[in-house]
Amino acid sequence: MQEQKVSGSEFDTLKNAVLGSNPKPELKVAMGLSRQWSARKAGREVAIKTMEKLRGKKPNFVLLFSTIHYEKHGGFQELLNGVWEILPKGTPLIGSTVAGFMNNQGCFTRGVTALAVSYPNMDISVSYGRNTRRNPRRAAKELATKIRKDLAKSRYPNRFLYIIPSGITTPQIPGFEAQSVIRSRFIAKIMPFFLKFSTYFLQKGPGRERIILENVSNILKDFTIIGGASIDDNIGIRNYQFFMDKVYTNYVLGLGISSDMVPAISTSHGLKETGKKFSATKLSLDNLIIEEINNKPAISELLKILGWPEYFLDERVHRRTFFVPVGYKKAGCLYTSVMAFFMGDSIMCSHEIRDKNVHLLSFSGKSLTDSIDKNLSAIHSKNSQLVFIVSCIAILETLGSSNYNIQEKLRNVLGDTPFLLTYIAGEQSYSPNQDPLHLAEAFTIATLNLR
Amino acid sequence: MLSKEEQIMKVLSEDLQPLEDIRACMVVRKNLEGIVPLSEDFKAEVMDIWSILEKTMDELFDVIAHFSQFGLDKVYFELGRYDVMFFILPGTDTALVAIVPALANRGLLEVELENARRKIMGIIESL
Repeated sequence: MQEQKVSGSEFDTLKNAVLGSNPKPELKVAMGLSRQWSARKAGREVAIKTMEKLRGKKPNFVLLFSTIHYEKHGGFQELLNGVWEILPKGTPLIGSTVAGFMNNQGCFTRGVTALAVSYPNMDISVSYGRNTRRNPRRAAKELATKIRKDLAKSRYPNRFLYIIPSGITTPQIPGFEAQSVIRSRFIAKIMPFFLKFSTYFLQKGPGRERIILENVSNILKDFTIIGGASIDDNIGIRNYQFFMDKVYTNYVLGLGISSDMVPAISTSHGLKETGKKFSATKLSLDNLIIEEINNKPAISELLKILGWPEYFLDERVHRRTFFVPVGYKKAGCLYTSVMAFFMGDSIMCSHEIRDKNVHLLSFSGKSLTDSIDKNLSAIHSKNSQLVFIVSCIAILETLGSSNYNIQEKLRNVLGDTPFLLTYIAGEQSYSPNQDPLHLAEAFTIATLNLR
Repeated sequence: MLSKEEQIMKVLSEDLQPLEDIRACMVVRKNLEGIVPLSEDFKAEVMDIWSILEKTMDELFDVIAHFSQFGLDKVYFELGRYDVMFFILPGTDTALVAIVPALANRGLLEVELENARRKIMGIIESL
């Protein structure tokens, strides 16, 4: 048989004739799940199930989310050790603890899930910022500067960031049990000072996530950003972040993607204005604590406006306040917050109140699911290859098993398109067409789309 | 090969019982007939009120038996320091029952109870 040598260009012509010109780059998205109790076994299992679905392709990146249970069943380092027994060395990985997650397989408040993507037209950078509570601006700069630098030379036009800041960690005072309602006026009076001290020196306190997002989006102006604050099982005492093969606290993590896939993002909440408003006339602790409403002690004035009896302020208070979040308007956007703690005469909110004109809102499962319909139809197309969703822990808590209605809705609309929803404590989004949003009780969807 | 009862017991003891807030869980009908992996620790904790709990749960099963055919899906009641949650097996007089502390994060528990119910239904309906 005669051997014939072909030149490079002749080979390309031959290849295109066989495969078709401009063969599509192959995108593989894999989702794994483990419900094992042992951290090590769960890490191994979730990695095995994820890699199996990639069918031999090397992942460009992995996102890993776990509920808090592994803290008492081996610990999160063991979870990561199990994962890294299987993952190819050096695979970019970020993740965190979450209150729950949802994917094409179901809805879970115990377990670990991983999402891996393999795609040739993609450059990746993973980065972190440290000491988020002590200095959120510096942490944001540390994270964003590296992402910017790593992806500066990428030839792909579209930029996307998945961000995970550390969420609230309530400081534990020896001898005192964590409570949502503190009647003692003395303790309530010293709490703002204690929290300020604790946030800076002990790094236990509010996550300061809004400051992080605003500073990150200021550096990564051309990025589309989605993410949310890591949390435990809604107790708000501890949470963990996973970067490569190590576990951290008080970090903000970022997965930067530069790709030919086009990102899109949309946020909805389904919250309705009740018509009831008040003026937050005295605020403290970076506008997280409302001390006075309409120049009167905040709690008693709130109870009067809502028409609630005093006994509603017991340890079941969140079963009520999740249905009555608060919000203010800024530049046409509604910024939302949950009334989380009641201390003496003051109310501590989950997110800063940056305008004294505060609206009382109402939440219902129906209005949320209606808003998801609108959100999905605005953003999803047949070109959506991958869907990231972040949703509030308050929604998980209030809807309970009815979260399966949302899962079924997503499956009906998205079909086989892989989606990953995490329940976190502060939903974050940004795009060049939208101001940075750090919200409560919101539902944010981001898609990556092939043209 | 495990029997269906053994498989259901596995769901209760491996998926639900280890959850911190689940004090007890069972798949039962009236007179608490069914699969009941009650731990000795739990019995000790609720000894004072167990007979009241038992009686209240039992009376609720009359309601469940009657309304299940009309789509009754879940029932809850609070008794002292506990919430009792009934996830009814569709179209039957039987429920997955969980006893949890009254201040537990109920929404998160509901998700896992729903997962367990779906698994149990899968076991019951399998050949």
